[in-house]
Amino acid sequence: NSQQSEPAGDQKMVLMPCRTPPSLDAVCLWLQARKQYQCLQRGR
Amino acid sequence: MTTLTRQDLNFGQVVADLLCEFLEVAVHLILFVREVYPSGIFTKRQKYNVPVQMSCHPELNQYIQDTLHCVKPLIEKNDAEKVAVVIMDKEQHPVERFVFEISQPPLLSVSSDTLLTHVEQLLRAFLLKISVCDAVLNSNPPGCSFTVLVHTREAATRNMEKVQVIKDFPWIVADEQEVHMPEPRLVPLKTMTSDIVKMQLYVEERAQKT
Repeated sequence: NSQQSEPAGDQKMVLMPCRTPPSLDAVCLWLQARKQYQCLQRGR
Repeated sequence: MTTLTRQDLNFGQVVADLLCEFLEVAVHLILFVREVYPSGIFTKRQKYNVPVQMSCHPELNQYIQDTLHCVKPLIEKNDAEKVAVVIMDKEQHPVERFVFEISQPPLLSVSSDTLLTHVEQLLRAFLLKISVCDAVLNSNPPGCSFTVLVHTREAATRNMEKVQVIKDFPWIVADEQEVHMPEPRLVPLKTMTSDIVKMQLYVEERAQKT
Protein backbone atom coordinates (compact mmCIF):
# COMPACT_ATOMS: atom_id res chain seq x y z
CA ASN A 1 0.00 0.00 0.00
CA SER A 2 0.95 3.68 -0.33
CA GLN A 3 1.97 4.03 3.33
CA GLN A 4 4.55 1.25 2.99
CA SER A 5 6.11 2.80 -0.11
CA GLU A 6 6.62 6.20 1.60
CA PRO A 7 9.79 6.69 3.62
CA ALA A 8 9.13 6.98 7.36
CA GLY A 9 8.37 10.56 8.40
CA ASP A 10 7.89 11.77 4.84
CA GLN A 11 4.16 12.19 4.73
CA LYS A 12 2.27 14.43 2.36
CA MET A 13 1.64 17.88 3.79
CA VAL A 14 -0.35 20.94 2.84
CA LEU A 15 1.33 24.17 3.89
CA MET A 16 0.14 27.75 3.95
CA PRO A 17 1.68 31.09 4.99
CA CYS A 18 1.15 32.01 8.62
CA ARG A 19 0.68 35.64 7.61
CA THR A 20 -2.44 36.78 5.81
CA PRO A 21 -2.62 39.13 2.81
CA PRO A 22 -3.90 42.70 3.31
CA SER A 23 -7.61 42.74 4.06
CA LEU A 24 -10.16 44.01 1.58
CA ASP A 25 -11.00 46.92 3.95
CA ALA A 26 -7.35 47.94 4.20
CA VAL A 27 -6.92 47.82 0.42
CA CYS A 28 -10.13 49.85 -0.13
CA LEU A 29 -8.88 52.50 2.33
CA TRP A 30 -5.54 52.63 0.52
CA LEU A 31 -7.32 53.03 -2.83
CA GLN A 32 -9.51 55.82 -1.46
CA ALA A 33 -6.50 57.65 -0.03
CA ARG A 34 -4.64 57.29 -3.33
CA LYS A 35 -7.57 58.73 -5.28
CA GLN A 36 -7.79 61.70 -2.88
CA TYR A 37 -4.07 62.29 -3.19
CA GLN A 38 -4.27 62.18 -7.00
CA CYS A 39 -7.18 64.67 -6.93
CA LEU A 40 -5.15 67.00 -4.74
CA GLN A 41 -2.15 66.70 -7.04
CA ARG A 42 -4.29 67.58 -10.06
CA GLY A 43 -5.79 70.56 -8.22
CA ARG A 44 -2.39 72.16 -7.61
CA MET B 1 20.14 15.81 -29.65
CA THR B 2 21.58 15.65 -26.13
CA THR B 3 20.13 14.00 -23.08
CA LEU B 4 20.48 16.18 -20.03
CA THR B 5 19.80 15.37 -16.40
CA ARG B 6 18.25 17.71 -13.83
CA GLN B 7 21.72 18.45 -12.46
CA ASP B 8 22.91 19.91 -15.75
CA LEU B 9 22.69 23.70 -16.06
CA ASN B 10 21.31 23.85 -12.50
CA PHE B 11 18.15 22.90 -14.18
CA GLY B 12 15.80 22.95 -11.19
CA GLN B 13 16.67 26.59 -10.58
CA VAL B 14 15.84 27.52 -14.17
CA VAL B 15 12.45 25.84 -13.89
CA ALA B 16 11.78 27.37 -10.46
CA ASP B 17 12.64 30.88 -11.70
CA LEU B 18 10.44 30.44 -14.72
CA LEU B 19 7.47 29.01 -12.83
CA CYS B 20 7.61 31.48 -9.94
CA GLU B 21 7.70 34.39 -12.36
CA PHE B 22 4.67 32.91 -14.10
CA LEU B 23 2.85 32.11 -10.83
CA GLU B 24 3.30 35.70 -9.65
CA VAL B 25 1.52 36.99 -12.77
CA ALA B 26 -1.13 34.26 -12.46
CA VAL B 27 -1.91 35.11 -8.81
CA HIS B 28 -2.39 38.81 -9.67
CA LEU B 29 -4.63 37.89 -12.57
CA ILE B 30 -6.74 35.47 -10.50
CA LEU B 31 -7.27 38.12 -7.81
CA PHE B 32 -8.38 40.58 -10.50
CA VAL B 33 -10.63 38.22 -12.48
CA ARG B 34 -12.30 36.77 -9.38
CA GLU B 35 -12.73 40.28 -7.89
CA VAL B 36 -11.04 39.51 -4.58
CA TYR B 37 -9.83 43.14 -4.50
CA PRO B 38 -11.28 46.24 -6.20
CA SER B 39 -10.31 46.67 -9.85
CA GLY B 40 -8.90 50.14 -9.03
CA ILE B 41 -5.74 48.65 -7.53
CA PHE B 42 -4.89 46.83 -10.77
CA THR B 43 -3.15 48.24 -13.81
CA LYS B 44 -2.77 46.72 -17.24
CA ARG B 45 0.68 45.29 -17.96
CA GLN B 46 2.18 43.18 -20.72
CA LYS B 47 3.50 39.72 -19.74
CA TYR B 48 4.40 36.90 -22.11
CA ASN B 49 3.12 39.21 -24.82
CA VAL B 50 -0.42 39.26 -23.48
CA PRO B 51 -2.18 42.00 -21.50
CA VAL B 52 -2.61 41.11 -17.83
CA GLN B 53 -3.82 42.98 -14.76
CA MET B 54 -1.26 43.42 -11.98
CA SER B 55 -1.86 44.95 -8.57
CA CYS B 56 -0.11 48.20 -7.65
CA HIS B 57 -0.84 47.83 -3.92
CA PRO B 58 2.65 47.64 -2.33
CA GLU B 59 1.71 45.43 0.63
CA LEU B 60 -0.23 42.95 -1.50
CA ASN B 61 2.57 42.79 -4.08
CA GLN B 62 5.13 42.14 -1.34
CA TYR B 63 2.93 39.42 0.14
CA ILE B 64 2.67 37.61 -3.21
CA GLN B 65 6.41 37.96 -3.80
CA ASP B 66 7.29 36.65 -0.32
CA THR B 67 4.91 33.72 -0.72
CA LEU B 68 6.44 32.63 -4.01
CA HIS B 69 9.97 33.24 -2.74
CA CYS B 70 9.28 30.61 -0.07
CA VAL B 71 7.71 28.21 -2.59
CA LYS B 72 10.65 28.49 -4.99
CA PRO B 73 13.04 26.09 -3.16
CA LEU B 74 10.33 23.41 -3.25
CA ILE B 75 9.80 23.82 -6.99
CA GLU B 76 13.56 23.83 -7.51
CA LYS B 77 13.84 20.39 -5.90
CA ASN B 78 10.68 19.13 -7.62
CA ASP B 79 9.00 18.91 -4.21
CA ALA B 80 5.93 21.05 -4.88
CA GLU B 81 3.29 18.71 -6.22
CA LYS B 82 0.59 21.36 -6.29
CA VAL B 83 0.42 25.12 -5.72
CA ALA B 84 -3.14 26.31 -5.11
CA VAL B 85 -4.53 29.83 -4.96
CA VAL B 86 -7.50 29.49 -2.63
CA ILE B 87 -10.31 32.04 -2.45
CA MET B 88 -12.09 31.93 0.89
CA ASP B 89 -15.36 33.35 2.14
CA LYS B 90 -15.76 35.50 5.27
CA GLU B 91 -15.83 32.36 7.44
CA GLN B 92 -12.45 31.33 5.98
CA HIS B 93 -13.92 28.36 4.13
CA PRO B 94 -12.64 27.78 0.58
CA VAL B 95 -15.07 28.67 -2.21
CA GLU B 96 -12.66 28.25 -5.10
CA ARG B 97 -9.24 26.73 -5.63
CA PHE B 98 -7.03 27.40 -8.64
CA VAL B 99 -4.75 24.36 -8.58
CA PHE B 100 -1.46 24.33 -10.47
CA GLU B 101 -0.32 20.71 -10.60
CA ILE B 102 3.36 20.65 -11.43
CA SER B 103 5.68 17.83 -12.43
CA GLN B 104 9.14 17.89 -13.91
CA PRO B 105 10.58 15.10 -16.07
CA PRO B 106 13.80 13.60 -14.64
CA LEU B 107 15.50 13.39 -18.03
CA LEU B 108 15.48 15.77 -20.92
CA SER B 109 15.96 14.90 -24.53
CA VAL B 110 16.56 18.32 -25.93
CA SER B 111 19.45 20.37 -27.12
CA SER B 112 20.35 23.21 -24.77
CA ASP B 113 19.42 25.92 -27.29
CA THR B 114 15.87 24.64 -27.53
CA LEU B 115 15.56 24.16 -23.77
CA LEU B 116 13.12 26.99 -23.12
CA THR B 117 11.61 27.15 -26.56
CA HIS B 118 7.82 27.32 -26.53
CA VAL B 119 7.55 27.31 -22.74
CA GLU B 120 6.66 30.99 -22.63
CA GLN B 121 4.11 30.45 -25.38
CA LEU B 122 2.55 27.66 -23.36
CA LEU B 123 2.46 29.81 -20.22
CA ARG B 124 0.80 32.58 -22.20
CA ALA B 125 -2.08 30.20 -22.94
CA PHE B 126 -2.57 29.67 -19.18
CA LEU B 127 -2.88 33.41 -18.62
CA LEU B 128 -5.40 33.73 -21.42
CA LYS B 129 -7.47 30.92 -19.91
CA ILE B 130 -7.38 32.54 -16.46
CA SER B 131 -8.43 35.88 -17.91
CA VAL B 132 -11.66 34.38 -19.30
CA CYS B 133 -12.39 31.78 -16.60
CA ASP B 134 -15.09 33.94 -14.95
CA ALA B 135 -17.36 32.86 -17.81
CA VAL B 136 -17.36 29.26 -16.53
CA LEU B 137 -17.34 29.99 -12.78
CA ASN B 138 -20.10 31.17 -10.49
CA SER B 139 -19.77 34.51 -8.70
CA ASN B 140 -18.08 34.51 -5.33
CA PRO B 141 -19.78 35.92 -2.23
CA PRO B 142 -18.71 39.43 -1.19
CA GLY B 143 -15.82 39.93 1.21
CA CYS B 144 -13.63 37.04 0.08
CA SER B 145 -9.93 36.74 0.88
CA PHE B 146 -7.23 34.43 -0.42
CA THR B 147 -4.31 32.27 0.56
CA VAL B 148 -1.80 30.02 -1.16
CA LEU B 149 -1.50 26.31 -0.35
CA VAL B 150 1.47 24.14 -1.26
CA HIS B 151 1.17 20.35 -1.41
CA THR B 152 4.53 18.86 -0.53
CA ARG B 153 6.20 16.24 1.67
CA GLU B 154 7.44 16.55 5.21
CA ALA B 155 11.11 16.02 4.33
CA ALA B 156 10.95 18.70 1.65
CA THR B 157 9.97 21.43 4.10
CA ARG B 158 13.64 21.65 5.17
CA ASN B 159 14.25 23.36 1.83
CA MET B 160 11.87 26.09 2.90
CA GLU B 161 13.05 26.70 6.42
CA LYS B 162 16.04 28.93 5.69
CA VAL B 163 14.03 31.12 3.32
CA GLN B 164 11.21 31.43 5.85
CA VAL B 165 13.62 32.75 8.47
CA ILE B 166 15.33 35.17 6.06
CA LYS B 167 12.05 36.58 4.81
CA ASP B 168 10.36 36.48 8.24
CA PHE B 169 7.52 34.71 6.49
CA PRO B 170 6.68 31.52 8.41
CA TRP B 171 4.57 28.71 6.97
CA ILE B 172 2.28 26.35 8.86
CA VAL B 173 0.41 23.14 8.15
CA ALA B 174 -3.02 24.05 6.80
CA ASP B 175 -6.04 23.16 8.93
CA GLU B 176 -8.71 20.84 7.62
CA GLN B 177 -10.99 23.90 7.43
CA GLU B 178 -8.66 25.55 4.89
CA VAL B 179 -8.26 22.42 2.77
CA HIS B 180 -11.64 20.68 2.79
CA MET B 181 -14.21 21.68 0.21
CA PRO B 182 -17.54 19.83 0.16
CA GLU B 183 -18.60 18.45 -3.24
CA PRO B 184 -16.31 20.55 -5.42
CA ARG B 185 -17.06 21.07 -9.10
CA LEU B 186 -13.96 20.50 -11.19
CA VAL B 187 -13.29 22.91 -14.06
CA PRO B 188 -10.19 22.01 -16.11
CA LEU B 189 -8.59 25.13 -17.57
CA LYS B 190 -5.30 24.23 -19.25
CA THR B 191 -2.63 21.57 -19.53
CA MET B 192 0.88 21.97 -20.86
CA THR B 193 3.59 19.48 -21.62
CA SER B 194 7.03 20.79 -22.40
CA ASP B 195 10.56 19.42 -22.29
CA ILE B 196 11.20 20.96 -18.89
CA VAL B 197 7.89 21.00 -17.04
CA LYS B 198 4.40 19.59 -17.15
CA MET B 199 1.64 21.64 -15.62
CA GLN B 200 -2.08 21.32 -15.28
CA LEU B 201 -4.41 24.06 -14.10
CA TYR B 202 -7.92 23.37 -12.88
CA VAL B 203 -10.40 25.09 -10.64
CA GLU B 204 -12.23 23.38 -7.81
CA GLU B 205 -15.40 25.30 -7.12
CA ARG B 206 -17.65 24.79 -4.12
CA ALA B 207 -21.15 23.70 -5.15
CA GLN B 208 -22.91 26.16 -2.84
CA LYS B 209 -20.97 29.40 -2.62
CA THR B 210 -23.42 31.45 -0.60
